[in-house]
Amino acid sequence: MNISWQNVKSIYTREINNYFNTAIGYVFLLIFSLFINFLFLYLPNFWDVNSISMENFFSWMRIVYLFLIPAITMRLWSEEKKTGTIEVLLTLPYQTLETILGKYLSALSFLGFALGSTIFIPIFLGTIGSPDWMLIAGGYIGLILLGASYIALGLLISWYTQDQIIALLITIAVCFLFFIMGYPPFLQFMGFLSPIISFISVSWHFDSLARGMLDTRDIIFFISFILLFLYLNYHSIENKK
Amino acid sequence: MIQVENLSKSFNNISAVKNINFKINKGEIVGLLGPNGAGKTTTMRMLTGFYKPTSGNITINGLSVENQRIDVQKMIGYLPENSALYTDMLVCDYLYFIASAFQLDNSIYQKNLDYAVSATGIEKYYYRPISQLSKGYKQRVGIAATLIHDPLILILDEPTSGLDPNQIIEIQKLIIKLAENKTIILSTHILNEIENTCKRAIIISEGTIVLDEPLTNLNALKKGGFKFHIMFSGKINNVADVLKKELSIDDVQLLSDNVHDTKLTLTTSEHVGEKIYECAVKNNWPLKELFAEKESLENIFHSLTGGKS
Repeated sequence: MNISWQNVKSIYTREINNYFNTAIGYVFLLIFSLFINFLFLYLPNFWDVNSISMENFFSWMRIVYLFLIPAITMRLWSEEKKTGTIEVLLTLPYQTLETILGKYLSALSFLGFALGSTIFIPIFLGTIGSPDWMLIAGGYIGLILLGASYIALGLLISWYTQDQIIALLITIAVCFLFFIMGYPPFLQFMGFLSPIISFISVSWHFDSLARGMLDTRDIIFFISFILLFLYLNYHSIENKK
Repeated sequence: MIQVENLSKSFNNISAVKNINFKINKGEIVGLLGPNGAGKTTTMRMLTGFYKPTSGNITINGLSVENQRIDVQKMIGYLPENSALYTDMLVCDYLYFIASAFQLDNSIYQKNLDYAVSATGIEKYYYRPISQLSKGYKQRVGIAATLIHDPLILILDEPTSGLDPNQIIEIQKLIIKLAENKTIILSTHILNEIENTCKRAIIISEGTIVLDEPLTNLNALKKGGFKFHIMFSGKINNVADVLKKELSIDDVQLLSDNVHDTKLTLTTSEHVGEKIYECAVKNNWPLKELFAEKESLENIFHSLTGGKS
């Protein structure tokens, strides 16, 4: 299958404009930015600890992501189905994969804007002290990979419903499941399966990156996770036809 | 140009389209008619590659829709039912987005755009948000989008649905104009629309084709046919048999006979009103009512689709 990147770009442009064609996209980013910067400055212990780090910020972002990413992905397919534009889109001469990639990359870019709005935090830390930049870089790489994984998952879930709210709620629930799978309170019920369950938990791999350890196994895990859900999305569309 | 062979489509083991066959030649304008749920939209969706057939083949210009979907879609302009559009976009951005899928050269795009915008009469609305347009203008934008790549084939699913009478006439005129150099398939519930715009009608009922005729044949059928509604006072025995025998007509149907009245219908190619009257006088039947109804496309549609709506 030959992918035309020009076609991917057409879909991408339409989708990214869709986020910003109304005030909702801007308001969403503004609220996120204010909330996250506020949260960071008023996080417990930030002003009390002696070291300057973003550890607490990355911990909180894992929770924020459970709501942020589903909100970004919920409309990607479901809105097209509800309004009937799915018929316009899927009868244009695009490969199914081009359409999926266009939508996926637009959501990823929107996440990029959201993460970009947190850049003042490391800049602020740099001005008041000497943070561990490797740790910060690792954390951001982890956030990008975690977000990219959740987006692939959310995109697939959005395909299965016409209702954005249902897409949002199911995505929150499934992301939450992948999130808690790596934690001891959950794993203690899994018995001999717990090593496998913890391995497929996104939080387990994210924690590793957020500690500044750039392990290729974690990166391969996230890339595999993304590819798997994009493939399932492709398969779902082709089967639905 | 379009060849459909043994085409079927099922959803969860429920057949929407059952083994249909038809062929449409270049330059034809064909109306797809049928009651709701007959399989018109499903057929159109298969023609455009939106659905894959459960069985059967569709070839367009020698290319298989299933195996060469992208090449086929480049030849088709498709207006889905209810003219779904991206309402968050401006008209100009929407047309550009649709055109970008066909990777047209800029000069060709400009030429096609000028034609599409002027043919559909949306010049004044070109920079407007689609969400602010009336239903009629949204429909026009949808049609303009189907023309943006100057396709060989137009597939229009209920193009006049929800429009007011003036808008319907305008869209019909536009379709006739487009038919000068394109092959067009349109679906509709409005029989008048088929008579006004099409040269051939395919009537679908319960997923099968029940009629596929040029409009000229249907018109001949209409002009030649009469349906007589007859009512006599009181119960008359053997009235249908006597009428059949004396008028040499087979299609006589007894609808009811009771102490109050006897009702019949009689279908024939000639006007036999006088003969029915003479027969009634001769047999001393108290004729209460007699009127002739000209066979219309509605009647043909009604009888072929079993009266489903």
